[in-house]
Amino acid sequence: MEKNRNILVVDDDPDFVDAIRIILEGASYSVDFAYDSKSGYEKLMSNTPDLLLLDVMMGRGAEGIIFARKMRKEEKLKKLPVLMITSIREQTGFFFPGQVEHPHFLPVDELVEKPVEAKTLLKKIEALLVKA
Amino acid sequence: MSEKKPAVLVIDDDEAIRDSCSQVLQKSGFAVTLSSDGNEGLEKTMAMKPDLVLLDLKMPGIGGMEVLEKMLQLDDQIVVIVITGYPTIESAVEAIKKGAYDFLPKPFTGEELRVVVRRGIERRNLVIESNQLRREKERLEKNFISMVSHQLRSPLANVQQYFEVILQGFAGDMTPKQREILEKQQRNVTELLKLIEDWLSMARIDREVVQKRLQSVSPAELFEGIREALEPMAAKDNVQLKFASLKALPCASAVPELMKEAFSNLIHNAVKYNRPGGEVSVTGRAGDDFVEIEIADTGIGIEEAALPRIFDEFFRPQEAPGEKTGFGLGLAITRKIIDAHSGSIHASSTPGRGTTFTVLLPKA
Repeated sequence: MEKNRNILVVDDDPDFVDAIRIILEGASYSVDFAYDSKSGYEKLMSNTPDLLLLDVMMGRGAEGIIFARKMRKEEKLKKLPVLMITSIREQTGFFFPGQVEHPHFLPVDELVEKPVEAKTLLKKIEALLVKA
Repeated sequence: MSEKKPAVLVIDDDEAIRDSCSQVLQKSGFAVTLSSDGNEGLEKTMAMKPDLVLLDLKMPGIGGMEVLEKMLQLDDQIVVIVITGYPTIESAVEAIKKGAYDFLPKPFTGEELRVVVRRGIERRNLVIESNQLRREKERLEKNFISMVSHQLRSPLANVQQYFEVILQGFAGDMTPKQREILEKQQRNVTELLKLIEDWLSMARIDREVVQKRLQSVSPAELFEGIREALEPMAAKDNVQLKFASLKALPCASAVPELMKEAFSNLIHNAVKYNRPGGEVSVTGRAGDDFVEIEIADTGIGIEEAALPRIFDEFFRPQEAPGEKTGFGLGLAITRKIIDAHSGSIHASSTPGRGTTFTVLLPKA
């Protein structure tokens, strides 16, 4: 498997980012991160990663969703694999685990829930990178 | 109520009644407004929003009954006391059926008036207060849910995430003893997260949302999914899951994920409170308007005294043998889900022999 691919983690929770970073680096990915959507977006534009891990609930609400919508309008980010991380479903259009209530609502490729098993996370990332 | 005087509107075509009411009530500390006919009375009701209205039933023009109905449409918390010219109990009863709070037969003394009006104002204050409390409660519940979602769940999810990092070896080696301790703590946090999840789904099950999302659900398919999920647990406890063929059953009108949750809870309990070598049988029947599902176990049963309380939040009847009990939310969630579907759930039990849950769901 091709390693040392770049992953950008955008999440406003430093502890969560830290734990995820350890897992990803343990699996030989290069990890960059941002704690808010603004700097996350700048990093995404200036140094586009191979995959984006994006938190739903940031700042004052579901900023991750706005983030995902906005980036899909950029030509160079249109095809970037996005794995969305969520800890709350009911406020974001998700009703029950694994079920997206409005599939067109979220322009992301996959979802994981906090906390996420290392195995699951790595498997999903790998699958998205292979597909990309 | 010392700052603001309770406002009373008197609607009566009889000037003598208006004046005497006004005198008596003002002396007793009420702010009184007078009106001589129904239409004017309604206008004043809209303009000044009185706490209480004394309304004569027998007036020329628009009659008292009609005024009463319109008034309650304007303000459903308003307290209306009808004055009946003739002590005809029929018209008083009719007025009360329409929503009047009390009646006052003419002629009445000043003291009678004061007593009835004071009682009416107390009623008004209670109604307002309970509505305020209800609204406050709803607001708190809503805020608390999002507070729980974010503030309580996030740090726990982080703890869990770090456990995962350590236990999967991403932070270096550890001794078997250290691993054992961490695994125990991981289980504790998992339980806590489960409690929060349950509690959230409890608060989230909303009748309106459910009614909007109803679809045709085949019981056979539903239980096939549940069987797959719960078979391993049942096998571990040496409990046999026996599903009758549900293929012939008509579809129920339900939200599939919620139904899965409701019945999984029931079957999970039926396994958990069973005995080794016991069984759980699921059977179904079609009624005229309902699909009936019965889940019977051969478990420890529920004491008669506990039976009415098993659907209460946080109620736990007894310890499951050899296992820590949950938080007592499973059945509460199940009932809430079934209620939101306009269905019903009923339990019967013989201690030592087993429990049977009967669920009725509307046909699709």
